[in-house]
Amino acid sequence: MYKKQLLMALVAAISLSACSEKNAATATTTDANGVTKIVIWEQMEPEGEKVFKATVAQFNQANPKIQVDVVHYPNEDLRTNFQNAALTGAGPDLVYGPTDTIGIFHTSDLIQPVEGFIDQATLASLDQKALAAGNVDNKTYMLPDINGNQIAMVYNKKLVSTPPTTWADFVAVTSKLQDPSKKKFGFAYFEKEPYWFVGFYQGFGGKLLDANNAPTLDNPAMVSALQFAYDIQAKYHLGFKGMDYDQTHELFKSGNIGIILNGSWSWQDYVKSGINLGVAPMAALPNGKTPIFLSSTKGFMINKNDAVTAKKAAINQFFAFDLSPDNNAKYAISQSQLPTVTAALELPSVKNDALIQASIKSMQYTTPMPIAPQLRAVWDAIRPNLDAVINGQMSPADASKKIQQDAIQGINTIQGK
Amino acid sequence: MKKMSLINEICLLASIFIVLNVLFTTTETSIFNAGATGSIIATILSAILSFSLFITMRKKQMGKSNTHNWAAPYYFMLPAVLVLVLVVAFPLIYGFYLSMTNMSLSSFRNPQLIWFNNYVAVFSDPKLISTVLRTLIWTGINVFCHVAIGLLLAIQLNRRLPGKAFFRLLLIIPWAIPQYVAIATWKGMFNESFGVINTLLQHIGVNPIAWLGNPNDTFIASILTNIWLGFPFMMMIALGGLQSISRDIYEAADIDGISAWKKFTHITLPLLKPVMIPAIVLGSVWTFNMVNVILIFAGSQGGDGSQILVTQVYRLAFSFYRYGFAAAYSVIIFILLLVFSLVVVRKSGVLKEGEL
Repeated sequence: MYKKQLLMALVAAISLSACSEKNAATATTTDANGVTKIVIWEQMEPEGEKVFKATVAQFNQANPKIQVDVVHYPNEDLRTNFQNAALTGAGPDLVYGPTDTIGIFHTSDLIQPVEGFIDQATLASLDQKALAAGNVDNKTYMLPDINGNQIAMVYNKKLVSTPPTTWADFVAVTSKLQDPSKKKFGFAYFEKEPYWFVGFYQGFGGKLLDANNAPTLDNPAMVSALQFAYDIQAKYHLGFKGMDYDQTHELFKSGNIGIILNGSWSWQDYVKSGINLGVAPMAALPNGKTPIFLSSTKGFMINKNDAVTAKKAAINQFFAFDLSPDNNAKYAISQSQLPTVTAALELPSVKNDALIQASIKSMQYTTPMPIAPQLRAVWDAIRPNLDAVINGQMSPADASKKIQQDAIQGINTIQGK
Repeated sequence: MKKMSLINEICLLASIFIVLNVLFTTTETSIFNAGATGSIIATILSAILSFSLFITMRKKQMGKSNTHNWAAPYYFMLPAVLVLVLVVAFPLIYGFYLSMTNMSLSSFRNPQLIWFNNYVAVFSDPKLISTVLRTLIWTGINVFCHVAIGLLLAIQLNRRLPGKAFFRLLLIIPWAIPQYVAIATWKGMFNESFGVINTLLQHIGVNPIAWLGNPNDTFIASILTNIWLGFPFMMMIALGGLQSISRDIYEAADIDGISAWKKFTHITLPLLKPVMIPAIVLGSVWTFNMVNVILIFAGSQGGDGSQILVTQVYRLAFSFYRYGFAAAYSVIIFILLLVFSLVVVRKSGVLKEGEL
């Protein structure tokens, strides 16, 4: 007696197979007016986003048959949203972000190599080292447009006339400015964030991962770095308890901190706040070695979906415009980071930009950020144990062991072991 | 035709609904591996077909003489049912399916069915017991304080009090402020160097506490914040319940010389029970699943020491990319809370007719 309904159900199930995603994937990539739409998801800093959107607007005007749309997401949301969207066969054509997301997207099989997609002329115009920063398994997965993202010593020239180069000088200069009762501090930084801490660790001779992406975190370098992080407040009486990013950033902007460690993404903000800004490599550690921070390129990754491959010509046309020396220089200057187009590095606007030149100097004391997804487990392992050491709840030696154990456990969790 | 009970009919139709969706897994528009549009169309169609089967079966059960008007309420319910299917049933089914796959970073596009392996892994997780204990402590302390503070304030607000409307407005503020803003503000207040909490503590001679500097203190700070966020809800529920209690009962108690405490325990509490028990069940479920406070205080990359079950699920999914494993955790949390709710509601008897 329910034959009619069951028959309807079967017909629906079979007929729906006709509206499959495969059919959607082979659908045309142009709309009714013959316009090809390119969607870019990005997590750019506000200043950079302004410059990039202006470039996109110029491109759209000059190329009426191609429409580029830009959508902004915060960093973590961008990663999650792209993974979710790409899984359902949707998502943007291009994703903009730093190199550390390559590992995640590549392992999830969501992005495709730039070789064979991007025109050879565009690839050849880029700094080859910056291009190689996006390599995984001998293929490149990112088209970089800026290079840097590194931590450096940023100082207020009104309070610190000459950047210190030795640790003794550093302590001497910053101690004079330290007056917690007036909320004035000689030195501050985001003390519990591994991205900052790793500069000290590498300065003491440590490495994050070995050639097989296994963590190498339990060693004398880690013990020294943790001891140093503890000593900044406990022994040298610099900074203040609970230093986090927002507090240190705002206190520096308001002229209450002499020296801060912060990334190149923040420098323009300080300039806009009226700080007479200086940037230099961080002063040497007590062992005489300069801290080695991480650097990374940022750029575009290409969604692996078939529909994107069909837009190859339009996407190449966009990149030929966006990665012209002038446009690349404009964007890089807004971010105080190095342009990746080789010709842009020679432009007067870049050569005369004090912050970019300072960035070039501080880049000498960086190593490229590892792309491996295992890095997430390393950050997760360092963070709480570094916290415990700074608060005096764990010795550096114990923390060093625990960091290594936690990192291995985290990597096993990621790999499902 | 043999008559079927309503429950049996619903179970049959739920099975038909699932079978229809499973049928779609063999096509390109599988709800488990398809675009969003295909999934939604498949789910809606399955729901409509199942629903129309239900109407037909009911018609047959009720006989020809009773066919023409009784179906109208069901048709009016259909849009709401469809929405519930889309936002409740579909995510539940998909979550359960996901929990039986190995979906992770390395098997993101093509996860394989591994059946109950994830559940075995959950129960073998060495962190499970500590996380469950921490979650129970979190829920117990929060709910107790929400109810105690809420009830106390409701009793005060139920009296003749000058400026009552003003106090009621003031006490609703924690509920009215967007949660993220409130939690971020509290995080600033707990700052070790500049936070107002430590400033006040120092004024009374207590050393500043590194509230966000270690898992235990972060956990305590999270509890204090969540108590502040949660008491207005219990206060409003209790106030509504108190206002429905007739004053005659209290007057009769006064005439009999009953003490205030006895009035509270023998009149107020029993008469509030039908209102408070469902609120406590709701509050317990919400508190058990409260992600925001701990996520903002400890961060998604914080250590294990301050995580509860749901934040651990969040970390597993979005920091370690173990989607299938995290889904298994979620299903277990769902079952725990379902059993808890059913047991409490059944034992308290609040949903029995004629309780009062």
